[in-house]
Amino acid sequence: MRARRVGVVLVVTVVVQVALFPHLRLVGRVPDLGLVVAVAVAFDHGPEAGAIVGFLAGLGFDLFLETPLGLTALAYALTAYSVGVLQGGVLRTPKWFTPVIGAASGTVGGMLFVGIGLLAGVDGVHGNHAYVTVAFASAYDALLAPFVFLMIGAWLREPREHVGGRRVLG
Amino acid sequence: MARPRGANRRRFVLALLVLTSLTLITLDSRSGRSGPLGAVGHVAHDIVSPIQRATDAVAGPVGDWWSGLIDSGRLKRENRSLRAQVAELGGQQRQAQIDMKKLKSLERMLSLNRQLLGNARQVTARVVISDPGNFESTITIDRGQEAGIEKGMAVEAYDGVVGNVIDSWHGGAEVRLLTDPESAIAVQTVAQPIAGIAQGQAGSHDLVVVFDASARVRRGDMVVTADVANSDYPPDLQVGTVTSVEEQPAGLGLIVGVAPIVDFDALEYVDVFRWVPGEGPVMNPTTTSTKTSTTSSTTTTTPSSNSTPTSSSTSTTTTTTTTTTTTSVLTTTSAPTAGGTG
Repeated sequence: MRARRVGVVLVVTVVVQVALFPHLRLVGRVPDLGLVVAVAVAFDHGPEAGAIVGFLAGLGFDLFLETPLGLTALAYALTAYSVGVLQGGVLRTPKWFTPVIGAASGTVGGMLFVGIGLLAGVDGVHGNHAYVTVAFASAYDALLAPFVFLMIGAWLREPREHVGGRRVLG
Repeated sequence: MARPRGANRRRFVLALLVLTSLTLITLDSRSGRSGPLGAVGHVAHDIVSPIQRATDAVAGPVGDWWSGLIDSGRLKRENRSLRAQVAELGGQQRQAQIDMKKLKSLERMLSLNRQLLGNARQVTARVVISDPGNFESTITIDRGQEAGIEKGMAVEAYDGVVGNVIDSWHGGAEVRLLTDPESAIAVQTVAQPIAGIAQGQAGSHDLVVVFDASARVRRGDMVVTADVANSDYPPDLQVGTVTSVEEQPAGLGLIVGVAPIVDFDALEYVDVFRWVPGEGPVMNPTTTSTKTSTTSSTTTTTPSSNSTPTSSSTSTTTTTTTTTTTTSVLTTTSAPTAGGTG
């Protein structure tokens, strides 16, 4: 995977998450862009790459949150890793698959955040409100997933080497 | 020894990430954002703040359009309600003008000199990052330690209390809103000086206050900050209005719902009180500009040409007047002891 491009993706993801999405809330909730990006990377490049990107994207987002540093990073990394592992058993990906993956990973990532947050003593993740928030954020993730998968697929495509005797950059 | 490869390497990387995350969570929970981890966060805020300001110009109108699309029903109801309020405020404005004349007269009688109040200890700051996550209510402002802003200071918008500073660095500060579940503020109603603690609730814009059973609280009462020891907030700042009153069994007290006056979703500028608990009395001239539009209708009745005692034609003229009233309020803040109630 191309390290510089991954760096650009991470910076853009964090900036868009904290600067743009607070203006574009869905029923008062923001999506987990970093999680969707990490899942897209895990889908294309495997669980290890997904976990690393998820960890770094989550850590970047954590810098702007009041919740303990590392909480979002852990939730994103575990979710992306799981998706990467499960993706190995998927033979074909129909068109409806990306929104479903977006929603499912949003739900899993959100529940991990809530669960670890409860263990860490975070006040804001108590009660039904937390589950409602996870549900709406997951729906938002599902809407974003097709676009994010498309962009990540194009931007992080590996260079194809020696096609027709010439090196072609992807 | 063989190097970890394939599945083993994947598990090794995952275990490393999990351990790193758990270490960070533990360190951050214990030392807060005051250590080196906090410094990294401050740098990140400093980097993103200018980008946020730049994107505000573009994202602001897009966000307004998006909100309008999502909340059109609520906006229509709010619009109707605001029209009714404008009509009501017209009457109040006339009363305010009368009160202003009285205030000026009293100021002259008491020989209060404006120059004595020149040391206004409020810092106006712009909101640069608003509520980035789903599980907390915080904002980041563009002024911090260089402007004398410190942890614990009260933050106010033009219409009421916003929250208090929980972190400050050179070039910015983080403010916890009243609606955050970890926020707590001593309040009282205007009518009765019985203090209660207002707390935010997860997933709600309303606050919950527990008052003593002897308190007489009614729906619609105005709630202000209380003058109690250990409070981070100067007294008599507007907090909100009572929306519900529920009596606890066995005289255990009243659980009161309070809707904050401040619209936290629309915050652009806030004032930070450069005052910390235990510092001593503070006298702040607080200047408030109120822009009110009043619509008046004049109905003229003229007899028609082929007039009969009962027939007439009626014309209606509607005039809209916009008036800006500036009110100066002298706020005297007593000196509580050190410490802080949220």
